[in-house]
Amino acid sequence: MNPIALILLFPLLGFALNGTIGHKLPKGIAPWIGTLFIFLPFVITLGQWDILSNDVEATIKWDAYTFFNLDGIIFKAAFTLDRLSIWMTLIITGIGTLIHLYSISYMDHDPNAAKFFSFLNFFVFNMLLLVLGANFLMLFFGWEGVGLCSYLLIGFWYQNASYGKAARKAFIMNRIGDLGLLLGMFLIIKNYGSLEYSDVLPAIAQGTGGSVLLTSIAILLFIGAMGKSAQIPLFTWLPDAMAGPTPVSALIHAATMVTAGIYLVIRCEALYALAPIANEFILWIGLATALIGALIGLRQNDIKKVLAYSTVSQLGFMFVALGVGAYTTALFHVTTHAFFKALLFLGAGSVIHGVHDRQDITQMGGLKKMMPLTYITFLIGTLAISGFPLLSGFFSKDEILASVFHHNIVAYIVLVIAALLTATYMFRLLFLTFHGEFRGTDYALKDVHESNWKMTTPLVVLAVLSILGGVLNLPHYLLHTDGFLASWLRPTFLIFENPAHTDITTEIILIGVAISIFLFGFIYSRSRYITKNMSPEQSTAGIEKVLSNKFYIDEFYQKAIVRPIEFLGDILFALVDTLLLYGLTFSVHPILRFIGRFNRKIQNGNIEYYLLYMVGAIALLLGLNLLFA
Amino acid sequence: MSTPESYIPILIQLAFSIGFVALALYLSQLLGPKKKTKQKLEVFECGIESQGDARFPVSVKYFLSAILFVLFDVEVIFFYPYAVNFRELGWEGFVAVLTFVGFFLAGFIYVWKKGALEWER
Amino acid sequence: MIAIAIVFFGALALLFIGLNKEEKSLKLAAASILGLAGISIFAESKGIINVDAFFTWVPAGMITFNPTAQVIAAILTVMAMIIINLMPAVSRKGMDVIALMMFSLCGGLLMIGAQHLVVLFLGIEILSIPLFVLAGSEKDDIYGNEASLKYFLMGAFSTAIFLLGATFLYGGSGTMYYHEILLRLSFAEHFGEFPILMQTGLVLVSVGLLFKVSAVPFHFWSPDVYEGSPNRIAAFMAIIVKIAGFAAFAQLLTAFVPMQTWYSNWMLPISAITVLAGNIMALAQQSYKRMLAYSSISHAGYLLLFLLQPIQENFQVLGVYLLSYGLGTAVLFYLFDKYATSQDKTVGIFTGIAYTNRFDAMALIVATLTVAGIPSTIGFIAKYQLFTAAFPTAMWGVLLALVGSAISISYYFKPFRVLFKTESDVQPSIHFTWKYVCLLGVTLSMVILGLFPVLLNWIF
Repeated sequence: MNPIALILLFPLLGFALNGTIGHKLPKGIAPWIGTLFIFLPFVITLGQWDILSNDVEATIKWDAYTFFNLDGIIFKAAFTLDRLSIWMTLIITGIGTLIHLYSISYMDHDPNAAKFFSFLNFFVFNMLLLVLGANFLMLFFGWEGVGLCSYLLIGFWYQNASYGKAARKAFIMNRIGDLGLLLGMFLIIKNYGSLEYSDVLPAIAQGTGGSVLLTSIAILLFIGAMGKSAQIPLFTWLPDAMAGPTPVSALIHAATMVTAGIYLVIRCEALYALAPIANEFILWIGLATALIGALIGLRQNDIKKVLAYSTVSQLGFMFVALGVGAYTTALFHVTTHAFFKALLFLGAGSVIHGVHDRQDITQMGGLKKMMPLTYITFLIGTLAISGFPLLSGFFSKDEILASVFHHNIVAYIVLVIAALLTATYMFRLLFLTFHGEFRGTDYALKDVHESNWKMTTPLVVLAVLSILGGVLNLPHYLLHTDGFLASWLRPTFLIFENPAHTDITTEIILIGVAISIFLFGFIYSRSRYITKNMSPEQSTAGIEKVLSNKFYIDEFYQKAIVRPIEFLGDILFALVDTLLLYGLTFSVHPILRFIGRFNRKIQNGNIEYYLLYMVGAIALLLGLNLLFA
Repeated sequence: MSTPESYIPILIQLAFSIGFVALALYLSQLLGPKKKTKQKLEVFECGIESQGDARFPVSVKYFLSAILFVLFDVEVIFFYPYAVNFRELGWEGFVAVLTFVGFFLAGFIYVWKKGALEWER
Repeated sequence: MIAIAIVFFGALALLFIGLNKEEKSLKLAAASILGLAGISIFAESKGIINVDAFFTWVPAGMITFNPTAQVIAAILTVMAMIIINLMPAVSRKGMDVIALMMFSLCGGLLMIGAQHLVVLFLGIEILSIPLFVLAGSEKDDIYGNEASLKYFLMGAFSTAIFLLGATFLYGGSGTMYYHEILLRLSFAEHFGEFPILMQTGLVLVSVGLLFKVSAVPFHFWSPDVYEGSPNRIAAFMAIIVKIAGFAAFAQLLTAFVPMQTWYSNWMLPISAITVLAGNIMALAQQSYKRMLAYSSISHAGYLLLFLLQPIQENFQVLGVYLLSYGLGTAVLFYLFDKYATSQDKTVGIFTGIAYTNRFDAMALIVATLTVAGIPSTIGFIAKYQLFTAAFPTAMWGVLLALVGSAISISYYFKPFRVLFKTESDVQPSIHFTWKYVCLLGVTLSMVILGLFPVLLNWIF
């Protein structure tokens, strides 16, 4: 059997098993099924590593079947495992396994655990479909599938109405982006007559298609990426998505699904390399997202919301890297971010679990004594994301900053500010949660407990990965050659990515800036929350109020988009529904009744009449034929 | 041969025969002597005095027997052409007729087993 | 064509074995005989087995199955199997009902393979005569008796018309073989005019077949007869007669390809009026079964569109449509039979089954989507292929058929309104019986073939 088929089959099988008979199995079996069926694809994928690393050109292909053939445009389910998709697959299944393991104990008390695991498995299946697909169609299937799973999982505790609303919001925001992706796909079909990467991308690389066409396709695809990867203006769903169980936030809304947009752009490297306007667009959208996400993150008091905005901001970083053409760097950051953000979310989950399902950091503080392991791992995550030297985040972020520095100095300065804010809000979160005095009112510190091994093992593994992740792509100035990831990915790029090698002086300056960013964030937060021992701000005035209310973006959307649409809807309801449709329906009714009565008269049950009608019809047929003969 | 005119002799013959029959019936009624007495107008039923109406429901068993009779009667009809062509059709014809009779026999046995031939049941 | 023999002798054997047995006990045997027959036809169509040597005594060319016709014959047999399997047996001694259904099926198979007008006539009669009896097989049911008599009288009438037409065709061409008729017509086409005998004959023969497939205005029997007949017989008539009728009709029309523009002139209005009348009248029905009857009339209208284009053995489209129609209708009849009571035959019978019996609700949804031709089911593929095939020759017909399909949604989806209404707290209970396995297979195949139409290429 084709390894790709196996990779895809196991999560699907897990989904089917848990979804159908999972709740009937003895308690505790379903979660392990779910975990095992994610772990197996990970092992299988690892087994394929050698094949790809031995031969630069090697890809593993699987043409499953053809959906249909429409005027010569063939739509087929084809998959390919190349150097890019194996990387993504390893992240998805590897981190997926850890998070599944973690969820076993996290969802222990939930009666619907089997359903939860079946959704998680289905999510992984769709994500694999997305990255393994050899054409835009498969990508789109996976794209929609992860959207669906995200909807199902955000609204997993659907008894809470606001969770259901959050799920809907995520779905709708994603749909807006999907429209862009679909339009982009239509343009591709129209101009290239195929959806296969292997047809379209080489054609683009060889210069087929004008710059207007390429730019439109690139921007339309990017709109899809904006929805999925939570970029301005479609980012507001991601913080709300924290309504789902925490492992979901870790898996979907930090480590894997939100990186789908980045994967899409990297996959279409040939397209974006030839569409400079689209690149500029991506760059500035990414910058704005990075900055605004970080700013909002400064004044959030929900432990998961802070992390969510941090995710938004970090995704902005990745798109900035894509905007300046540093695809390897973006993927590198995707990888390290997957490590430390999954770690942070799982740590947050452990905290939430420990304090009995409370998320408000104003009610925490001083947890470090009670939850030492969680604290240490969370600290490592915080250090990594803030760019502590030699941890994974330091390398990846530094690379992004370096590539932006060569591209555009203004963008560099903005990004530095965003990075600075990142360090600040992350340490704020850390200090408020684990340091200082315990501020909880409705529960005692002694009730707080450390989580069990199933939850802490993933934390430790991810912490180790967060520390060592930088090894995957050590910078040029250390190795004097390309990093591992850079040389690994090079064969998959159609248009050669030209890495900017800086001279050592600039590099030292940049590293200096990066370290001082980290130090500033650390010292500022420390002085505020440890030395001055400030409690979390109940921001009431000025810029702080704006920040804690997330720039009023949701309210703005409500007023500027939702209200007018609702108004339009009301008008349309009055005009089209009430007047036209009801009018039509009610005018159809008498006609139907008339026909019915007529029919009842004809279909009266007497066969002498039936025969008469038949003879009449025959006579008519023959008569007319003879007449017109 | 196949022009419509060539059918005219048939039409003439048809008209003539229908006309003759109609005429004969009409004339016999017109010319024949009529003596109507009560006894003459009574329904003649083999000398037995008639009772009740002729239109009363007959037991379905009569119909069943009748239709079975007709079926096997029709079967026999097919033997005549076969008998005439017995030699020409040879073994192949013999096998065909045997199959035909076999199927009929199967039907007959089924009817028998089913109890359709038992009058009292 | 060993399948006809299998079905016939199987039915004969069942008659004798089942003389004093309950019908239930031998239902499975009947179904397996039909399954065997279906498999044998399918194997023949794929060239896996070849039994022509056994049938040398069949006069040459009178019965010939081309591979696609064989697949349709296999579908017909499998449909009969599904109907016999799904629909509940009566608790009565004797196998006469099922045996008669199988005899009738023999007629249907003969019709599909007929290459000669007399064989076609024999097929129609063998198909019909058992049905006349079957319609009244519930002897104590007065409506069944009425249906039986009506069907018999009208059927006899249509047969007479058919025979008259066949006579004219013989008079016009001097032959009853399809291929020879085609030859004569090709000559006639060369000289520019078709004999009037042929035109009249074709009209009359078509009327006979249009009656069988219940096209307007020869449809009057079908709502009345379906309503009066026992449910499984109604399902049998709706599916088997229609499949056999259309396959035979298409076979017959292969002989009349030169006259295609001529006959599509008058067949197109029939198709259009069938689509419209069938759909609109279905909309006005209260009884779900009567609605199914009118829906089957409207399907006849869609199928007639296929016959309008020159048929050169491209039966694949027809076969896919007949398959999808058969699967969907069989499930709907089964569910109607399961839930209908003597008082209530409206869509209200399906109230709340989404809660009381989820599996049936799923089957109902899938089958409804299939007959309505909604994507993700085979019904969509079938309708799409049919309309695309018919579009070049009958554009207006296809447009009208699309309107008709739109109307049809409003009555097909009626059960959905009540499906999710709860009236009781009955706990769902599913006992996995053989019937459920069958229903599951049928339902799944509708979805799977709809999602992976590639598999259809493998079947045909």
